[in-house]
Amino acid sequence: MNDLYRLQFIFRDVLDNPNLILNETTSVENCQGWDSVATVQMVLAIENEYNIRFKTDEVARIRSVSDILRFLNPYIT
Amino acid sequence: MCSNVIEFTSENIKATVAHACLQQTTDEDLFRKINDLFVLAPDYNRELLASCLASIESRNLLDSPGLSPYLADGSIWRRIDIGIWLVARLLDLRSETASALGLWNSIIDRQIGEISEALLARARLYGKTGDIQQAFSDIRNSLQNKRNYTFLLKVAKFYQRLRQQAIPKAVKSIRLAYLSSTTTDFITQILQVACFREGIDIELYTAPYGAFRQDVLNPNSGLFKFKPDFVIIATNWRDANLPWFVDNPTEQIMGVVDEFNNLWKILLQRLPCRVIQYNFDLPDLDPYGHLSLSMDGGRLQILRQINQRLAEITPPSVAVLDLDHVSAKFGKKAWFDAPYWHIAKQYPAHEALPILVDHNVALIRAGLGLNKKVLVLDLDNTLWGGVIGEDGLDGIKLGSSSPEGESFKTFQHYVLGLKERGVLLAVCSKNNESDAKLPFQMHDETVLHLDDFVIFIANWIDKPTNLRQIAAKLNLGIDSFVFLDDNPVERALVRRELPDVAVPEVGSDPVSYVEALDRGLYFEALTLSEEDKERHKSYKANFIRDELAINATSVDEFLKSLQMVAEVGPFSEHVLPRIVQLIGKTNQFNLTTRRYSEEQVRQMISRGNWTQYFRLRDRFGDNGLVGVMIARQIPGDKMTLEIDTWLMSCRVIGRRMEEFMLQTLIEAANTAGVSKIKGVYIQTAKNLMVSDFYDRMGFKKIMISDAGVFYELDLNDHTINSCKFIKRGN
Repeated sequence: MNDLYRLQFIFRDVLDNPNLILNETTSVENCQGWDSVATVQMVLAIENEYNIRFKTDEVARIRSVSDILRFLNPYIT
Repeated sequence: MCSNVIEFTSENIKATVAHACLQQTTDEDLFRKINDLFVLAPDYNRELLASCLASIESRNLLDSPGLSPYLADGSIWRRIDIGIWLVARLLDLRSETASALGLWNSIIDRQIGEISEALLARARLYGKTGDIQQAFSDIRNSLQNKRNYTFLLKVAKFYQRLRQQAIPKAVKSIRLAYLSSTTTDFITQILQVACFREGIDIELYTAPYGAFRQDVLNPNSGLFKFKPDFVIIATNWRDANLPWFVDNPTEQIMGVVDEFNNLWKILLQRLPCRVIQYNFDLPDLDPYGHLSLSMDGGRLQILRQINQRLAEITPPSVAVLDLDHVSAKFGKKAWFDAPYWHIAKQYPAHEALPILVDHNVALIRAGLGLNKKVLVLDLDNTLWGGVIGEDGLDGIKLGSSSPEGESFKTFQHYVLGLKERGVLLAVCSKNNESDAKLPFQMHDETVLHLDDFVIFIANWIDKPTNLRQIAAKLNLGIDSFVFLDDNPVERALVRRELPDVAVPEVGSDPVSYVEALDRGLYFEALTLSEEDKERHKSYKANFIRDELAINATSVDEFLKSLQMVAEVGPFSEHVLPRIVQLIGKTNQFNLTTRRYSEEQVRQMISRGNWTQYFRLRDRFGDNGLVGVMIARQIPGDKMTLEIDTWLMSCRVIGRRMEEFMLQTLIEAANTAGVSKIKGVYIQTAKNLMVSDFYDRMGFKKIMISDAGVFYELDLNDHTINSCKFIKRGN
C-alpha cells in the first residue's frame, strides 16, 4: 500500500508544509511543527481519510510515522 | 491480478481495489494502468485520486518522461473529471505554476469535483506567486458552504501563514479573547477563519490553560493587557462542578450564577467590551436517568435551572450562547466525544466545532451590527411548487394536497416568523407581475400575503440589477441581504455579481429550505425591540414597477461564463413526448399558443414541415429539451416560410436562446433557398412577455387583425447576428 504517501498528504495539510517529505523515521523529535495539538489533528484527519477510529491508548502512544503505520495496519488489512 | 479490475464499472469500482492494482503494477505500466482506471471510472473520486497521486510520488515518477504526454495540453486525462484533477495536482507538485493555475481555473469554472478543495489549491498557488489578496478571496469562497472540521483546519493553517504576510481586507477588525477551561487551540483556529469568512478579522488572545477565572480576577493579567473588544467565556457542564446529586439545590444554583455574574461585572467595569457566555450543556449520560430531571437536586434539573437563571440576569453587554441547544442541534451522542476529552482535553468533539463556531460568529456579527436584515425571495419553486405563469393558480403546489405542497407551506410559515420578528421580506422573481401576485391574493393555502413584503419585483430583468434596486429603495446596504432561490444559475449569478449578498445553498428539495435558511444564522440578534417588530410597517408596501436599467456588460459576462451548448435537431419519436408536453403547457414564451396532440405533431412532421427542438446545457448541468419551433412552407410560395409554433420553457428565459433559435431557423431557410420568414403573435392572457418579440428580433410589422399581429423578415436585407453565448453541439 502507499499509506506512507497518503499520510504525507495529511501531514502536508496539517503542518501546512506542501513540500514535506515523510519517511518512517519522521517523528515528534525531528519534524518541525509536530506537537501534541498537531498529533491530534493528524489522527483526526487520518481517521477521516480511512474512515476508522483509533483506540484512545493508540492515539496517546503516537510519536512517529512508524507508530502511525503500525497502529493503522490492523484497521486496513 | 489486475485483470480483476476489468469486472468493475464506474459505479462499483472501489478505491481499495484500485490501490492494490496500482501497487502491483510495474513502473513502466503505471501510467497506462491509471489511464485504464480513469476510462473505467472517469468521475471525480477523492480516494482514487489520492491513490494515483501516492503511487506516482512513491515511485519518484513525478519527473518521468512517460508522464509528460498525459499532462500535455489536450491529453486524455485533461478531458476526464478525475484526470483533470490528477493533472492539476501533479503540475502543482512539479511547480509548473502557470499550467496548474490554468487547470484550477478550468476546474473551478466548470464546477468539477470538490470545489472547496480546488479553491484552496488555487489559493495556495496564489500564495506562492505572492498574490495574497487573491489567495484570501479564494479561501473565503472555499469556506462558504463547507463545514467539515478537517477541511476547516487545513484552511486555517494556510490562512494563518498568509496572514503573517498580509492582513486580509476586512469589514471589521476586532480583538477577541477566548477564555475556557478546556483546550482552546482547536476551536480558535477555525473561529479565526470563520470570522474571516464573514469579513471580520480577529486578533486573538487565549487565557493560560485552565486559568480563565484568574485571568478575569487579576487586573494585571494578560487579558486586560490585551484589551479585547469581545470576550468569549466558553464554559461547559464541567465548569458548574456539580455532583450527580445535589443536597442543597438553591445554594448550588445561586453559587454558579453568582460566580459568572461576578466575572461579567468585573470584565465590564474594566473593559468596554462585549461578552459571549456559553451556558451549560446537559450531559448525555447520567446514572440517575430520568430521576436526574424529576428529583429536586438531580444534576440535569440543576443545570436547567442555572441556564434559565443565567438567561434572566444577563446585562445588555452579555449574550448567552445556548450551548445546550447547540449540542442538541448537533446531536448529543457525537458531541460528547470521550476519547478526545481524555487524550487532549478537547470538548466538545472536533466535528462539533464548526457548528459551535458558527454560533459564536453569528453573535459576534450581531454585536457588530453585521447581521442580515432583508430576505429576498424567488417565487416559482421557492415559495410554491411549479410555475405560476405556466401552471396557474390550481396547478401550483402549495398546501396540504401533496407532501411537496406542504413543505412549501411550512417554509412560508417559517418566513412569516422571520417577518414578525423584524426581518424585511422582498420578492424578486422572473414573472409577469400579475401572475406573480395571484397566489398571495387568491390561493386558499398561502401563508404569506402581499402586504408581508416591503418590495415586490416581478419582471424579466436579471436579479443582481433588481437586488441593487431593492437595496437603493430600502436605503440599506446590500451586505444586509440574504437571497434565496431554488435555481442554481440565479444563485451563481448573484454570488458572482454581488459577493456581499448571502446566498444559502438550498438544494432542490423544498423540504430542506427551512433548514438551509435557519442553519445560516443570518438574522441572529442580541435584542429585539418593539421598533424591530414594527420595522416592516415603516416601509410602506412599495411595489416597484419602474423599468430597471440592465447592466449589460456584467450580464453578458455571466452568460458567457455559463458555457452554454445547445443540441438541436428535427422532431423524432424519442423526443416527441417532451415536445408535445411543452406544446401543451407553455404559456409565457409562446408566440401562438397553438396546442397540438401527439398525433397532430406526427402529421406535421410527415407533411414535411420544418421542425426543430432545442436542448440547452450549461456548466451547471442539462436544462433538458426547452425550445420548440415548427415552420411550414406556404402552398404555392416556395420562397416563404411561416412560423407556426415558437416556444421556450420559462426555465431558460433570459439566456438569449431565442437568438440562437432564430439563427438556426434562418440558416435552415437559407439552405432551402427561402427568402422570407413570416410570423404571427397571438395574444393570450399569459404571453405578454413576447408581445413585442418579433419587433425586437428585427421583423417588420405588416398587419394587425383579430387573428393576431403579423410580421415578416426579409432575408435578403437581413444579416444574421450569430448568438454570442450559445455554441452548437450534438
